[in-house]
Parts: sequence; structure tokens; C-alpha cells
Amino acid sequence: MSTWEQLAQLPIDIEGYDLLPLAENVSSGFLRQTTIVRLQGGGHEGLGEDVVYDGVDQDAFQAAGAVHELTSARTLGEFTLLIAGLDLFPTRTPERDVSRLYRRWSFDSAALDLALRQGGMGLEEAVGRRSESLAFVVSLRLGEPPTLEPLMERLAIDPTIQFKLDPTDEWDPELIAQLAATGAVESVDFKALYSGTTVDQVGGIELYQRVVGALPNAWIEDPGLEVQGVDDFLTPHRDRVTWDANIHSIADIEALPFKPSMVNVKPSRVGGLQSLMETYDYCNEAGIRMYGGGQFELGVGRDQAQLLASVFHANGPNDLAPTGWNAAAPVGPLLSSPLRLSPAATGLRLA
Amino acid sequence: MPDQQPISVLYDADCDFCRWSVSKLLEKDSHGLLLPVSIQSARGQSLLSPIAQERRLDSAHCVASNGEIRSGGQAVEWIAMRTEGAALAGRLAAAAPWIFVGGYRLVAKNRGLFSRWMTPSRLALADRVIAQREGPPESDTASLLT
Repeated sequence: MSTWEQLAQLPIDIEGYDLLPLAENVSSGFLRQTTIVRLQGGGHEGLGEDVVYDGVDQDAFQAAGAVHELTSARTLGEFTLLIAGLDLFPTRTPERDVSRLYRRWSFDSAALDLALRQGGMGLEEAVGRRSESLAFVVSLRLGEPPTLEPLMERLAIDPTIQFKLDPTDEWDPELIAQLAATGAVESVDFKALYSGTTVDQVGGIELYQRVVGALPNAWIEDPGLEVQGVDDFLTPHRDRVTWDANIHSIADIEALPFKPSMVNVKPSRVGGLQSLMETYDYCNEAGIRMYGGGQFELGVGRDQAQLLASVFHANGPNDLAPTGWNAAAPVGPLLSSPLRLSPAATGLRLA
Repeated sequence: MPDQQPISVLYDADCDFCRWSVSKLLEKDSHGLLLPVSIQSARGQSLLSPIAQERRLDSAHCVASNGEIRSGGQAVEWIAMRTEGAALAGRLAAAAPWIFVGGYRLVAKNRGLFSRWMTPSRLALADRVIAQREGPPESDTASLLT
């Protein structure tokens, strides 16, 4: 029986739902807004978090309120089909298409949480897998101009911590050599697949030549293979190439230019619970390693992303570091990798 | 007319400075709308269940009676909107801005600077102010309003 088949048959009883807004100034004036979807039934609550990034979409979601009729589903499988058939942006077209997947995940994850709590079981029991200590990396930008300081500041707190860094054209050979000497760079994210975001990057072949050879053990995430010369240059390094921003489904993995060694499977980016479980099974059967990442969650979505990662890909370079590591000026002590989580006895939550 | 529903103020009970700051906030709350709740208590954990565990001690939080939550600096603005508007916001900012902006980590980082203010007598007074509003351990918020 597939992982999804185990979950799809879980009974669920939904009496209603409501939405809880969350908001916090997280950095440099950026007001992060998310919404908690709270399903209710049988004296239990199921929580999920909508991580849509655009504030106008969050505002419209919260203003519309609980407009959907969700009480008809009797199993988790039926619920996910119901959600898949709804327009979850009934009053406003989202700023970006991927937001539809994020919102779908907020309902599906809330339903999984509720079904598990109503059934008196946790995720581990439901899927027949154990939560293992979660390996994580700290995702970090090195400033403008880039320096070693942010990295060294964190290594002073924990010399064993590993990093995921975003190379830029400003990375010169001296800086790259210093980074290599730390032995702390687990992954370099070229971010070549984003478009229209604040993190877009278009590095030329020279950047790849400087970075890839100097950091021979680092994963190479989201390279721009269409950039002149990059595909040929990376051919000997394909076993180090990983994909993140373009992975929403099994179809996306199969559409990659070559079979990957590893992909980033973010639950909210995949969207549907069925699709997520099928992606986990597909990667396991195909021998493709996985890792996860966060979405600037403020709420229970963070716990759920960490819990799922600990159950399905605990050993990957998960970009799910405890938030203290992401502070502008981190204060130790901070939790080290791997992180021992305590899954709640019931639900899709941590204890 | 401001919303007169009660607001739970979640604070870090293991932080002397946070307790003292919350007591100052309560002294400024003439309408008695603010209900202190320790983050570490079962009720605090229940109220904050929508919040990521790792963020619960990062700052103070406010929770409305319908479960809505605001954290950090957002909490100040939110309390003001639901109570007396700008006048109270000004008093809150004057009374205890630091518990909302930067919260526990800011205090932790500057513990040496803040600690000289935390005399035993100040803390004892602060704990009494909180206890008067907090009621018996783990009591239901609604019961405190009657």
C-alpha cells in the first residue's frame, strides 16, 4: 500500500473552519503575513498555515473568511479531492500561480492534522515511518559587499554548523578560498530559476567556474543550465546538482534534463497532500534523495515542515534551521544539527 | 469605539525582565483588558498552538478571545487598535516597548545591562501584579472576566 493510500482512508469529521491571521515584521521592514487555517470537528482542531507571500492575497483571504463548505468529506482522501476542486482564491486572482499550491497545502495539512487527532495517532504511526533527528543547514547571504563575517559569527556559536550560501558575481577568488577553508559550505544555491522575485540571480559562467571547483563537496542548487557554457561545465558535476524552485510534482522531476541525485521537496510548493506523498514514494523508489526547506512560516507550518522532513528525508541538507540561526545577530547557544524533534502523540505537530 | 474584548498577553515566565515589563503594562491598563499568561504554561502553549514552537519564546504575543494572534511589534499596534487607540499605544510604548520589539532574545543578549534593574523587590512586586491578574494556575480566560 502506498503512503498516500494509508492516509487517504483516514476518517475525518469537519464541522467548520476559521482563519487566523499571523503577522510579524521579520526583517528589513518586511511584514510577513500568513494565515492559519483551523478546521474543527469532534472537539478537535486541525491546523495548517497558508504561506502565500503576497500581503494583498493574504488580506483578501482573511477578509473573505470561511466561505467554503467543507463538511461533506468523510475521509481524508475525499477532503483533498474536495479542496482540489475549489477555487481557493474566490475573490482575487493571486499575484503568482504558485500561491494556489501554497493555499491548497494549508487546507490539506490542516485536514491531515485533524484526521490524525481525531484518530488518536501521530504521523509516524499513520505512515509507518519513524521521525529521525533532522539534519539542517543554515541558509545565509553574505552581505553587500559579501564578507566571511556572517558565517564566522555563526561558526563561533557552533563550529559544526553547515551552510547553504547564495553565490553572487561579487564573490571573488579570495572570498571563495576563505569559504572553502571553513569546510562549512554544504550547498551553493545559484537561484537561477527564479523570476520576478527579490532573490533572482543570473550568474555568468565565470561565477560557476570560480565556485564549483573551489567547493568540490558542495551541492549545486538550481544552476542556470541555459547560461552560455554552464551546462557543459557542469556535466562532470551532475551528481552534485540539485533542484529546488522548479519542483512542484513528480512530473517536474521527470522533466529535468537528467535524473537528479537529490531534489528539494517543499510540502507547500507541491501543494496537494496526495501529490506530496506520491512524490516521497517516487523519490524513494527511484533512489533520488530529498531535502526540504522553509517558506518563512510564522506558525505551525514550520513545525509541520520540520516533522515531515524528519520522517521522510531527515538526512538531507534541509533548509529548516531553527529560526535563531536566521537572526541578523544570532545569539548562542543555538540548537545544533541534527535536531531531535518530539512529534506530538496525535496530529501533524510537534509536542 | 475600540474593541473591549480581553486580550491575553503571553510572556516568558523564565525571564525576570519580561515579567517586570508585563507588570508595567498591566499597571497602565486601566480597563483591565489585558490578561497575562505565561508562555510556558499549558494554557500559554494552547493559546499559541498556531505559532511555530521555535518562535514562541522569540517575542511576546497577544491573543484575542477569538484566537487571533499578534507577535512582536505587531502586538503593540494591535492592542492599541482594540483598546484606546493612539493614546494607549503611546502609554504602552512608554511603559514597556522592549518586550514587544525584539522580545526575549533582545533581553537575553543584554541581560547584563538590564539585570541591574531587576532587584528582588522589583521582581516581587512585578510577580504580585501579574498574579493578581493571572488568577489561579491554568484557569480559563473567560472565568477571569466575570
